[in-house]
Amino acid sequence: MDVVKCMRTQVLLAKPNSDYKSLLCKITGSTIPRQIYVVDESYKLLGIVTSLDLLKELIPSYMNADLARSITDGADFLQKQVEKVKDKCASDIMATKIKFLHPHNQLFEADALIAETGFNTLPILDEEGKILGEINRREILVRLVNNCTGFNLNDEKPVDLSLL
Amino acid sequence: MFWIATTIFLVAYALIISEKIHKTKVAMFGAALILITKVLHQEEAFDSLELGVDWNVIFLLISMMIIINIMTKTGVFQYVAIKCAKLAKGEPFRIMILFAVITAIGSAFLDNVTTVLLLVPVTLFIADQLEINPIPYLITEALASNIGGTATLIGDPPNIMIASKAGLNFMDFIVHLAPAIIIIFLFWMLAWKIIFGNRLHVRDELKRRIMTLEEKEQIKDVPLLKKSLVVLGLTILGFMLHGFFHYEPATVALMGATTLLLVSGEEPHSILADVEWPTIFFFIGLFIIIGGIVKVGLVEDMSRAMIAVTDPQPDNMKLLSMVMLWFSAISSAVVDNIPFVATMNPLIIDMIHKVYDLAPGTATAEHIQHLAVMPVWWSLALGACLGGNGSPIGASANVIVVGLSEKAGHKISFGQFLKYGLPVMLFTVFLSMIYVYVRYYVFKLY
Repeated sequence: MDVVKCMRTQVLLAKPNSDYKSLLCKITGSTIPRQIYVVDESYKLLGIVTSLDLLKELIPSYMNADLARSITDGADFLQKQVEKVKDKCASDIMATKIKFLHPHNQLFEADALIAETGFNTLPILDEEGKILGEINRREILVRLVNNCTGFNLNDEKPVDLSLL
Repeated sequence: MFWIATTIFLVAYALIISEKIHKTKVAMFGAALILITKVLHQEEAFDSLELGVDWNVIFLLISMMIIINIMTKTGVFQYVAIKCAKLAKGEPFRIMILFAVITAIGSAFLDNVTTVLLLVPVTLFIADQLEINPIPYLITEALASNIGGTATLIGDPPNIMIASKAGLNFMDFIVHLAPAIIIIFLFWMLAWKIIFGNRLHVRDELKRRIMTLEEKEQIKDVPLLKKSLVVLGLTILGFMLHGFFHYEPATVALMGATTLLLVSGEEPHSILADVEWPTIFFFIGLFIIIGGIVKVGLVEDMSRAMIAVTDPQPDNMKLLSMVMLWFSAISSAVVDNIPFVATMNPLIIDMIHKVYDLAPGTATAEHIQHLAVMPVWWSLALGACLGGNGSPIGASANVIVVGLSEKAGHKISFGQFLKYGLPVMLFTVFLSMIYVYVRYYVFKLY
């Protein structure tokens, strides 16, 4: 099956000059894990900003988990860091080495590329580099269950641990 | 053969200085050329004490790297750094001094690069908390690591190489170099007090931030920390006594490293993978290239030239000592001090043969450690180690500090490092000259 048939066409887009605050709002406003595609005027993909990229910007290069444990007021530290990075724009943060798929690529190729790279979501681009949509791990698994196995999908809800 | 070996040596040196190709590749390829052209036979390269690889240096380096790799997993360095910042009550200048002291002590007993690798992140963190520029602190740490590393046999690779070639023990370095370094360090800190003492101020509220830090959170593995400290302590004790028990330093270090590996429960695979193999192979390649130029007589020619310039006498080599100190310092500011010392070691040995009129290869410890020769070895060690402060590329610790600082958004330019490093290098080498002159040529305290 071609990826174009199972891709999602509703994606998050940003311009290269979008600031940190707007990127943060876009990504947190989405209910499912998303990444932001930074595009030019003709929707040609320039780079990708993930939630990991936004989190990493808040952490100074010298910081590690051990050093972070020594801070008693972490909220204050994070607030200071947000102040420092708030003027950064998408072009400063985005990753430009991008793994992508073409519409005619097979679902199996998408699975292999995701397994190889460890990325959650891959963009689908046309021949000119224009973004057409995205495909993620969950969608591949859903297609797998629907088309390739005899398993039945059920609507089991997650357990709410706070109620236990 | 003479021109083949000389060309390989000069081209390798030029490539190492240019940093166009990684120095390990250059040294290993140069060594392969020395062997393939039969300047040295493989047996000479691997087995000859005079011409081949100095396995004492190699195993001492590997063993110390193993001990350090295990110790870094404990978080002890970060603990000490945060504890010191709290002891200084968040006062920026006191923090600068205490960080310089712990860097110098760490570098004297461990290696300079690891010490700064562990302390730079904490320094950036503390500077961030105090909202001050970290660059003076970082450069101070690089300079302190090179100064501290000079004090002991295991502190800096040039000292390990000199000790092995001259048959010197750990206590020789403690007796002869440690006092010089303590004096130099005190004068340097005094100078720093004049320069920075009244310039570094922060608000009280920022100092309080430092006092709220939890240093205990840095200790990741208490049982491993205890084992590491015991083994490191015993290893240092072993270094102090190795001359008495007639063990080579590498034997002591290997015993310490393997004991710690055994009791730590760490997987050898990951610990050995973290050994700096490129550095180890750089040494191996370099030893073979230098063995080649010793065999063909280039080192002998250089030795003749040095004798002609400095006129060393069997009972007095004062001018040679002074020239050696400054020449080593200036060279080490420009060239990596490891190839420099690898070249100077056989040169001094050859010169000893000529001054004492000995047949080639017949010098004994009596000649190599002659009272008149000893200040020359100490001058070489002081010059080669302290010279590294002269430029950002003069020592590995400087390169690491500049790189980490840039990554954290605080670029240290070549000129900026030079502004601090060069005066400190000239000042410390000048103090070393006074020390060597007064100790060995006025009071004759050999």
